[in-house]
Amino acid sequence: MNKCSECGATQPKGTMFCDECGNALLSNALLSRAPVQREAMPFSRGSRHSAPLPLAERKLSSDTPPRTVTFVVPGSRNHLKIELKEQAIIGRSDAHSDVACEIDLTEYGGLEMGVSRVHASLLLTDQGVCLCDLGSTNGTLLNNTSLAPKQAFLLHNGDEIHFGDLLVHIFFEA
Amino acid sequence: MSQDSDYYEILGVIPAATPEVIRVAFNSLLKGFPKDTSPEDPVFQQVLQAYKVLSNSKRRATYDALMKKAAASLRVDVQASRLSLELSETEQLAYLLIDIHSKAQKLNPQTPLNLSLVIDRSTSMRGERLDKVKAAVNILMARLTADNLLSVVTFSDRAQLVIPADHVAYNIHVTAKINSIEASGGTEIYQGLSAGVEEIRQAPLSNYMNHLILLTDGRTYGDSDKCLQLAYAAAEQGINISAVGIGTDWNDEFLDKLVAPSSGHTAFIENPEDIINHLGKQIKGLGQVYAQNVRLSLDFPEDVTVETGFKLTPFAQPLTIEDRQINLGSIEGRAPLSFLLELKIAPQQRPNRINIPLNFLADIPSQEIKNDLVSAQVQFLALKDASAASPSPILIKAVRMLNMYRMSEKVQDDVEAGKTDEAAARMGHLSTRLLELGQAKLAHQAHTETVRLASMGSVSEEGRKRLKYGTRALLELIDWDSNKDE
Repeated sequence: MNKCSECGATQPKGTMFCDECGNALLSNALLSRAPVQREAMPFSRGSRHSAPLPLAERKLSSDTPPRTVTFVVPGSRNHLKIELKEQAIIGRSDAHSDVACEIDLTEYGGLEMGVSRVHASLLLTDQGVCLCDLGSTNGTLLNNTSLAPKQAFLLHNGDEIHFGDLLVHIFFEA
Repeated sequence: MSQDSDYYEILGVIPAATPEVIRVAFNSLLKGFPKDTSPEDPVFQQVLQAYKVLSNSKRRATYDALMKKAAASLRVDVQASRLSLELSETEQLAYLLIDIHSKAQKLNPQTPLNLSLVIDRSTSMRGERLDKVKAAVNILMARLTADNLLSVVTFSDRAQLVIPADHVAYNIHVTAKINSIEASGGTEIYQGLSAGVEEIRQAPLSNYMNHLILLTDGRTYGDSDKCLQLAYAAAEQGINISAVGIGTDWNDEFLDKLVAPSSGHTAFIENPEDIINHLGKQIKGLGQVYAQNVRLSLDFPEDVTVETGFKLTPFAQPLTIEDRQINLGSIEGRAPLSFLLELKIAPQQRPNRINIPLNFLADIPSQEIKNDLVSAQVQFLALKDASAASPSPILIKAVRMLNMYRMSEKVQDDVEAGKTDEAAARMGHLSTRLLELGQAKLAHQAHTETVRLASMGSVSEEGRKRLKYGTRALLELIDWDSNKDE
């Protein structure tokens, strides 16, 4: 018997999704290989991101209080939560990484989905949280629009971001 | 004999060619070879072999029979969620995703339809519902060719034959008859159903794809057992039944049972606008039927029982597990018939090998083949150090969607058993899962029903149907083809 990690119901071995609460009893690696088709989320507003922020306003402000940023990968129960101070690198760690990334997408199938080791960064500015592609191999989409590399774009609550083929929703704590 | 070389094609003649034509074709091919061609040359050998077979009337007849068989047969592909089982004192589950395809190179000319539309004209159909149904019937008649048979029956408390079964002839008189259908009276489905089946029986059944489509928006009282008996008798004769429920007041449980004997489809149409599209799509599918009456015989070993069966393509529909078999319905054109089985496996305490035979029978009307047999096998191994299961992405998706559907059904079971708190909790979980899948509309519906369950202890009929058929439809959303090879 297996025990559902979420509701505690016991399930026969070989169960793939909990009969009681629907929780996936499969490994994240398996799940990420089977991404679900999605209806557009109500808060994805097409190509609604602003022009890159001008350089002058992009300065990292150390006096801005840290923000809690949550990454939600559809189909995965494990949400990634970080306290963003100044800057955080998004990517994937492996034996050859020389830069440690704060937001590691390996366990969401980052390798298979084409996430670069150093893919993008989150920047905390006095305008809000910005996203900057760091010249990744497969690029970054913000609300389905491709981002020019090395430029910062302001993020909004619930934005849809594709790192390569990996879809992530970003949320800020109020 | 290799399967991909057709002797007729090698000689460049049609299968109906006379012996004289075959001889001439062979001679002219021989002249085409250079003088120094080795007798071992593979192309030369092929031509020789083709001629050797086709020039002899006995050999040719055997070859023709073999080719017909090969063209007719079906192919079965099976994916299992796991093949190794753990040694365990408790039961285990395994899932099988099974596809059955037509193996034919060319699909033969289609078998014509013998179709009966049985239309509810009770008072509640008045207005847009009946108007859209009439429009749909008109469009269908204009589209169907004259080799198809069509009859139209309406019913309220009794049946009325609007158009008797005959070759489709679309003209002003027929239109006038369809347009004169008016709504009034109650809903006695048996009246309409038996009149429709009777019309279908007017034709020689073996020459046609026989299908009855019931369109209703209400509940029938007192005659449901008679309806189900009729559906079984009709299925035995090769008459398939599918149903369209319009609005929210029809009895989904009853219609699901009604279509089960022939493994037909129940559709939920909330907006009358969608009737035309739905019928168009359905009839197009029926027109492409390659094999029908496909069924899986359940000669499974004792340790294995089928818990659930669910058809995924050509449409999502729960399967009814009968005593010895599961009826799977039809294969439409090149598209596979796919279905999912959930198997419960008895405790395995010692290393063991479990063979599961998958034997399918099917009728292929265009080839005049009845009970064509096609088989596959799955082998589970119960081992001490079982390797981790690694189900394919498509199987994971299918099981995940099926789980949603089952959660919505379990909520209903909870409600019926008076377990309102469990129902509300489950509906809440379903809402979360739907949101994770990005199904915002369904998730919102589930959330609304969660609140309703918590405050009033019931689910709205509309919400229940939306979730039941909405979660079924999730299985249809899966892009089956693109994921098969992963």
